[in-house]
Amino acid sequence: MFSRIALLTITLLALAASPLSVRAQLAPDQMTSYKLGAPNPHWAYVFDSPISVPQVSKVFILDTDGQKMLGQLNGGYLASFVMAPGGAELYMVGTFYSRVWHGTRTDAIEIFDAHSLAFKGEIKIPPKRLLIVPKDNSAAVTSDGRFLLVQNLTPATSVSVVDLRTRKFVGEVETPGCVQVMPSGPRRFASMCADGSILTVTLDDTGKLKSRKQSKPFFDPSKDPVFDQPALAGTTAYFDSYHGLIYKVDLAGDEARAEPGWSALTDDNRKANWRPGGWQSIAASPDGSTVYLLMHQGGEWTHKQTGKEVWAFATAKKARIARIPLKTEAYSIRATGGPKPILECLALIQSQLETYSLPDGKYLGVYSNLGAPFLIYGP
Amino acid sequence: MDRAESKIDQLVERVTRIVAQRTSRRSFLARLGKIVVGGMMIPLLPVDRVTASARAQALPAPPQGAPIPAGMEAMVKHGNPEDDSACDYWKYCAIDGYLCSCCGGGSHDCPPGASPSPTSWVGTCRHPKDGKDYIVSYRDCCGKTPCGRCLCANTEGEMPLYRPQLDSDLIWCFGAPTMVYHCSTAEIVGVK
Repeated sequence: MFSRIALLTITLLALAASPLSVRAQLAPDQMTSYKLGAPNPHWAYVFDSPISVPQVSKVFILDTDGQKMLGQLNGGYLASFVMAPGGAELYMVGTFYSRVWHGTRTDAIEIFDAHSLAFKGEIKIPPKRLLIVPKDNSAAVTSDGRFLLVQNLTPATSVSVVDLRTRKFVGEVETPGCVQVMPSGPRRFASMCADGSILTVTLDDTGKLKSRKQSKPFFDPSKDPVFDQPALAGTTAYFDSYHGLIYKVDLAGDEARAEPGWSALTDDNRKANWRPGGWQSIAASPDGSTVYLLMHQGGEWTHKQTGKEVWAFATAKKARIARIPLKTEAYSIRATGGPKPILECLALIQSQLETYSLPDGKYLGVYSNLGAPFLIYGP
Repeated sequence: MDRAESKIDQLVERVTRIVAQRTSRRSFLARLGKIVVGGMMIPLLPVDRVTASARAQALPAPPQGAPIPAGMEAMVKHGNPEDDSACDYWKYCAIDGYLCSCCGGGSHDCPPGASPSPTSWVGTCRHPKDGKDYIVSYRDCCGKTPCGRCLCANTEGEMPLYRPQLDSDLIWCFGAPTMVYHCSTAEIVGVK
């Protein structure tokens, strides 16, 4: 026994004294927190609403080119994620109970630095925000980044206006019969109404109501409703309907102006039961020249079915230009900008994001373990 | 349209009255009735436009051969109209969420300690045997975190958010002690 210990001691001493071990010694680590660089168009902000514990929402930030996770944001119960124009700040609009699942309700906007992802502070808002399986346009920021708009539903509908410069809640604008906030200018937003019309709300420089104007209905919700998560390209909204019509609506003015809808389907497509569906079922290129529909084959009321193909349409010609079969059926889609645009497809059950090059639809790769990814955003 | 609105008023009144009889939150319901009927332009309900059936869409299905995620067994199970823990149970034609009958409750009863919401959205489902169309009130049970079992996403007659009373994605806990969603039930309100 003694000889074995002695041998080990001699060996260790010899190793410690050898010049080789000195050269191989690692420097002490210095622990820091990374910061994000400037976003590129292929970054994806994936909203995860943990299905069985939605009290803590997440946003994963990914670089789809490098297949790399860059960071994560947290938010409250069924939060809404909002990106500021210009990219300096990120916001999570959330609901919090003092004892997580009971107690006093507080609604607040949580502010994050977009580069460090550090929490910067919060702004309290009336505890009446829309609570729903996370949908796009539940909250938004005006195009100049000044006012953050939060949809309320109690179930009476209104919008809370928050001044991001003074970090204060300004007041509420009633939007009777209309919901969701589609930003359409520095002092303007649009909401979708129960009769198939659009309400345009214009604010003054203090965030108070200046004017409110409702368009004529541009579709009949009792015959062929449009989905409530349109694709926005600037101040133009593209809506898809349960039966495959595409509507272009100009939201820029004090009253929304819709063009007549046109069908994404041929008679043969209809016979084969093709129709749009999913969660974020429509996407648009940033310039609005192309819209993408997530398509499946199914009967009436299959509007939430996952899509097995994405169809691309040239909006000027109102014609299909590509048909992209998906490796995994998707629930939400997004098209990026940039010199090499890509199509991003979220699969909810598989908890993953798949990417395809545009316009050719070549499969690029998959990113897994994204929780319950409902929504996808980009810089 | 007048006729349709009158039918809708009658239906909303009927649903509200029946629900009110089963809850103590009458003042909230009175307020809700005023808001919904007075302010939100009640649209056509599915009874006016849907030839409903017990057909159910279980979505989204896991890929073939993939393991079924925990808690989603019922989603891929079809064919038993008597089983109220299955997504294709006839009353669930438009249910969206975790079935309370898999969580310690029943098809129209909350699990212990969870509170029935006094408010709901409505759908119409056809009984597979008597062939009648029933008005079904989809009431959430509230006050605990989501149960996580028997997730169903049936979408018969389900509408986007601008028709909130037909939107199943909303947390229908208005008037309950908290807006924390636990599970979903389907309560027969009457025959169409």
